[in-house]
Amino acid sequence: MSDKVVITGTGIVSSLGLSSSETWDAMLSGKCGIRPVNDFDVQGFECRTAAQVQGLDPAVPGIHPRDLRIMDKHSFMLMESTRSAYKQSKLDNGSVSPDETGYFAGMGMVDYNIEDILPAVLNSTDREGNLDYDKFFSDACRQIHPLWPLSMLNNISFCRVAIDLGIKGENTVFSPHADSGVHSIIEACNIVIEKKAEAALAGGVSEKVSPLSMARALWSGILNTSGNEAECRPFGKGRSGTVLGEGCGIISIELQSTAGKRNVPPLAAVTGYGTFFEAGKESNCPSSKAISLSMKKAIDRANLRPSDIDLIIAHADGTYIGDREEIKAIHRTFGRYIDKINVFSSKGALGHLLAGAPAVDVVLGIYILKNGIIPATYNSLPIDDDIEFNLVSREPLKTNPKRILVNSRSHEGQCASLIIEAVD
Amino acid sequence: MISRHRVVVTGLGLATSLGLDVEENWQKALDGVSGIRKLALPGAGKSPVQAVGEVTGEDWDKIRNEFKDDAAREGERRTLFALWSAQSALKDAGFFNSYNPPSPPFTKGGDQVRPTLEKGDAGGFSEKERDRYGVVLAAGLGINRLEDIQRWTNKEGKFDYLKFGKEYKDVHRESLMKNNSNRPAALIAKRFGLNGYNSTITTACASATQAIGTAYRAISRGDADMMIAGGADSMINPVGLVFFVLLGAASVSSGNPSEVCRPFDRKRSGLVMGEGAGVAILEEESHAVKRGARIYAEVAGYGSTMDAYKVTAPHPQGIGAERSMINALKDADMDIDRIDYINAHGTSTKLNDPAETLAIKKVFKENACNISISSSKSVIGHLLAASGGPEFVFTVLSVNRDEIHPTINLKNPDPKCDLDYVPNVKKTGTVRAAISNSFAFGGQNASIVVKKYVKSGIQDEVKL
Repeated sequence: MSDKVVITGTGIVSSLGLSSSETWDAMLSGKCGIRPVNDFDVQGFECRTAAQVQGLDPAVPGIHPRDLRIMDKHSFMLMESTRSAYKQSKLDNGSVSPDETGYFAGMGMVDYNIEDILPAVLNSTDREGNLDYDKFFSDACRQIHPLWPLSMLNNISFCRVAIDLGIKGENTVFSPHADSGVHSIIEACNIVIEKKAEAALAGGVSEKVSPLSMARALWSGILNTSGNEAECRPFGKGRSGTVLGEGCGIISIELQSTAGKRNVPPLAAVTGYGTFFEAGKESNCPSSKAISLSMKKAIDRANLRPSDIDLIIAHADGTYIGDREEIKAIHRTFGRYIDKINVFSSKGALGHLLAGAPAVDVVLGIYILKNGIIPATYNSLPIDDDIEFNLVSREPLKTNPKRILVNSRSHEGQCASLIIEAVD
Repeated sequence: MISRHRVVVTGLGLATSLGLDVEENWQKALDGVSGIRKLALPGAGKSPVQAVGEVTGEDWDKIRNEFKDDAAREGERRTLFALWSAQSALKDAGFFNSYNPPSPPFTKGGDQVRPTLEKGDAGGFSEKERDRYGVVLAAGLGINRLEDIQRWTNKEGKFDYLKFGKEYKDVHRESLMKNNSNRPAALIAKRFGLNGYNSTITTACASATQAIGTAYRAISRGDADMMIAGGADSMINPVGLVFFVLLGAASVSSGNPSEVCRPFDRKRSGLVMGEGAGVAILEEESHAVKRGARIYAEVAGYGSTMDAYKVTAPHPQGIGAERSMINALKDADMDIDRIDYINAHGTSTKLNDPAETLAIKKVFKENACNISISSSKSVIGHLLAASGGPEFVFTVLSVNRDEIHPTINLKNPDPKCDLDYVPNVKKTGTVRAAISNSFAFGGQNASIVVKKYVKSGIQDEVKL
């Protein structure tokens, strides 16, 4: 019997809580993390809500004040989630050497804080109010803190976490959308299969909600633009866009035999993955064909048939076209089993975590496997008329799923799917 | 035991300060011609950095002209560098030999116009092929434009968030806000109709080597038949120019620009930025053989590690770099006496060059002094996130042609850098196998091993 890739630890930071269990409990009891944004003046934007992480003081994950120059909210989220997964999987007991511990993450774009650059801009402005580059280069650029450049590098928070936990093995950082979170898990699984590491941490972290990330998401055309009322309605009838969420999900991955040797209980197995690229015609969201093939490849790789899948944790970000394409894709892939398949999305409650979304969904999947209950898809009612599958929407559904398919997609055309299964 | 597919290199593409053609780049690099010139960016006369490896204005116009009918024209400089080098590499790999454009050019107002490229048209690949062809690209930092802040700063010197929120659409097309890091990889996939594995890697200066390594692994484990892999980057913009100065890593020398970048030289004074792209076509061996492709070399192994030491400096003993080379050799199942050439990370900084030298000595032991080492950064500068791209291209050419380009400007020996860096004059001699190294700020290290290609079936009989 061949070895399996299993998950032995999880960590979540989200708008619903600073741990996996807090997030799960809040999700199950029907709470929503989307609120008005109030840490910068958001009034000019067409979307003024987000699911922001609350109460994550940098001291929580033990970040030294001197590191605050190079670390921001996305770093704190990554640090806290990675630590949790690392601890739960007992990687902190010395049973796996640092050289044999891999680390992979999907990370969003890193934006500057305007205040960090503003003094340099002011000192570079001439009397007419124009930028004077001579001033910038000869003097004003020194108004930027010498460590500021590090805060802009996408890999620095990641490396800071590795330094903290002493992780020295195989690694990479993918960027910036949801598919990158799945890519990190795919690489981590293969790294342990090929025995280039005994264990690996993998997942992803969202961007910090800031004026720049808000502008970028609006520019991409994915956000709900109803101002203070902006909400995320996965697969909902009349849905009109997503809402940004902050958060991070990290899982520990190793072979079942390694976990057995280390006496760490497996929480679930990762048995399949699939990816596909094709942008749709009306937007850069992947086409239904792409989403469908990504799911099919994952199912094939897991040696399963569509009828074996009990639950899909859909990407379902509440965008009109994106969700329409995913509905079509699910119909196409599950064909005559369509009325047997349950579907859930976390984004109505957590917002869109971009690179952080898939790992958070995998962790929620683990809780679903363990507790035998699927939370209701927050804010999905009334559901899209075209839906033929069972979207868990009114109330949590008690059932006993064994196999879960997790979908993700970028807003440039990439999509990626994973399959997790209960371990006996 | 996991069965692995062999991965070969069948196409190369470059856009650097030395030119847009791989042969031109290679001949210049061999001759020790520097692409580092005085900064030409308008308005940057007072920049503390004056020596840079910019893609020439003439070459830039040529690239823009090539993609004028493509959505990518809206993107930033490095997006077009990526497209140029990907297209050149695909051509070089012979993918377009039997390709006929889907519709002929038409005439509009007296001008001949090429039709706008639809998704997938330009590649001319079959549905089945598209599914197995993908892209992994390195992406650097987005452009932090000072104008984006200045424009919405009010008379009181405060940033007007309210106004910005209403007018964000007016930010420049090159701004961070309009350029997702995965866009270049997506644009390449769209233009050439590639539906396979598509990801983007952002690990600073290790990105492109990690991208090539990730693509190699995807083919090796059977997830793809062909991957376009490498990177594109440019930080030759106002904030980019001071970026490494603030960190104390850039050379601010006002000397002759072509002599500022001097890896392993005692008088080295910091990194010198270049810009551009380097991309390779990696292909599953039997797939390449079946279509009769010319094979440059084989990718034999890849490894990556982390220092877990400091975010601001490499480990002084090069411990992470050492393990990265060891992991790559192990992956290649190769003994240390098989490596004839190392394309070093060689940044020309005080810290990197001796640490990398020490790491090489620890990996190769007494054999270290027999290995030729050179730094491509001495001729094209540091392409940052993309640096591993052109350096991989040069490494492949060394293995393919048995020629090694020199490390130029190496005139003052440094007692801490005492290996054979092929100073100033190229070298000719068998290169059985080579390693290309890339190390990132933060402490991420990546190494990739390339060896001479020997046809399947007779590999065991030939002692390389």
